[in-house]
Amino acid sequence: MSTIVIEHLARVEGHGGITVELEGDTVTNVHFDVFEGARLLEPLVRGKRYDEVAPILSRICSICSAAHTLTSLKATENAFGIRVSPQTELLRELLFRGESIESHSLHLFLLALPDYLNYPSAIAVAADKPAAVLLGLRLKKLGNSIQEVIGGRAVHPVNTVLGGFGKVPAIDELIGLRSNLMQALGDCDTVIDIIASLPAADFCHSDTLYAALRSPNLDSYYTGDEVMVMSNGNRAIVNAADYRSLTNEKSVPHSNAKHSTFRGSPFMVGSLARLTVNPRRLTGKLAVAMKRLKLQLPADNPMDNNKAQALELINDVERALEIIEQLIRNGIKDERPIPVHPRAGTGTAITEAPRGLLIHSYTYDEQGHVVSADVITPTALNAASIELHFRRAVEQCAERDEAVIGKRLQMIARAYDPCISCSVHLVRRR
Amino acid sequence: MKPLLIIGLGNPLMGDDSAGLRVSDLLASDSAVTNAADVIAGGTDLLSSMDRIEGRTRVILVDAVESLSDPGRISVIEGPLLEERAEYVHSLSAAQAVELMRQVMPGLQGTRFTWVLVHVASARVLQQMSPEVAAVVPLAAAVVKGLL
Repeated sequence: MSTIVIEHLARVEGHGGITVELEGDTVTNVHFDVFEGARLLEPLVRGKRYDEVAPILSRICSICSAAHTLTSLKATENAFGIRVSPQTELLRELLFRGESIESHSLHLFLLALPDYLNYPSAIAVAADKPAAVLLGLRLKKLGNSIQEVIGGRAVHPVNTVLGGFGKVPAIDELIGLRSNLMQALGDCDTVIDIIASLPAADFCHSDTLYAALRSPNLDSYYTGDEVMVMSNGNRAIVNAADYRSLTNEKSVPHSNAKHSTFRGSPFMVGSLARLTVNPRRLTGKLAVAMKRLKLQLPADNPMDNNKAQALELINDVERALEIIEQLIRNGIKDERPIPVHPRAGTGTAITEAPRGLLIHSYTYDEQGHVVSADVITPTALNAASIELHFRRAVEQCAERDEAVIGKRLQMIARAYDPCISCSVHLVRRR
Repeated sequence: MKPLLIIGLGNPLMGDDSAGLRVSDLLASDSAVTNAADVIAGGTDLLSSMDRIEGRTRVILVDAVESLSDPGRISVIEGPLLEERAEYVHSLSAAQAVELMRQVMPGLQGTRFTWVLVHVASARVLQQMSPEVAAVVPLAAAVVKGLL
């Protein structure tokens, strides 16, 4: 028996590794090892008052802090029966778009690009091709600026509260963002130029089950309470309240992240899943870009998640512009947050964080203190799918060269854009 | 905008990892410091503070560094920080972010970067710091003040 071990998975958020065991040419075992210590954040909010929960859970991740905050608020609002205004929903969607622009540009240009260009790091890429790295940083800055205007800070928003916003943005601020976003449309064309010019990453094919928030009438990361699971034309709908039938979390001995399967099969969440489940978004500029990237849906190659992120960058910029136009056209109202009246009950929220489905579910007592909390992140949902794709990549690799296999597996892991530190919750290693 | 910027780094939910943030909190409430410098909490993603860094003549970064043998020690490093990933408490490397920014932002070529590192034994989910690290936060703030 031989074993391939990648002890430290570079250029992902958190600490993880990969182990592959082979008997001759047969793959006997594949592990996506998550070493990151259990964060135990859910017990940290147990007993806390309703208005303390979102600021605490926002700290789970600095890259997805807006998604954690807004998903947390949505779950608590669901528990208390609060329905926010259409303007609040638009502003929250805009905040999601800002975070997605930041996260995708960081991932594509600082983490994934070095793989395709055979550089060890973004710093090495920057020495030879500074324009590509600068493009990524420029878009990241744009994403941060949206978060700063809407959320009050570039990370860990403070302006987002139960029932609405502490302060709504001024028209001048929205006009400033609109101007920056219009300039970014040109950058989006360059993103597609760069991603289309990269060498093909064609070393892992597998039928894949995709899961994403269902947006039948609108393009949204925030609104909606149903998840669609799709594979080869088969579809299933899971309601937010029934999320455990989607996640079916179970502990595995090699990882601090629990694994999720739907009806016994691993599934993939994230950009590729979103485009597969909601193909109506793919019109106009996006349709043209999709052709240039040679992306066909449903895809059977997890590396296509990078192409999907590039398409979503365009979509995020366009959607952010649409929202701002709508807010300016309607005239932004100086709304106060809806008053909160706590009550006993459970609230669950599902949203689309940059890396995929994010679930927060809380049970409150009558005074509005947390009795129990459950947070399931995209990387935890993807963990079983990542292992499946590792296995397929090794099986489909004609060479048994450790360096070749190792590089391919690392590229697959990074294509999932995992946030390992986020994926760890409530599990202790056996 | 003042020519000097002080950035505290860390996660307030991760115990001693928050040392840099606690130091910057102290400095932000000291008018002798805020008259001379802008002070911000940078969280764990230094690249998000890129805009705030641009155009400064000097940036002082206050961060936690893992040091099993010597928690509570404070060290000051001028210039590039050579690191091994495992030495850092939070997984986003601030040192790499500085290196990257310096490479692609010509305006930062002349900027002086100084690291004030608070040595900690571990970082785990806690809203409080360990007594030995909490005790040196005022000392680390005084070290930063001495650099102004």
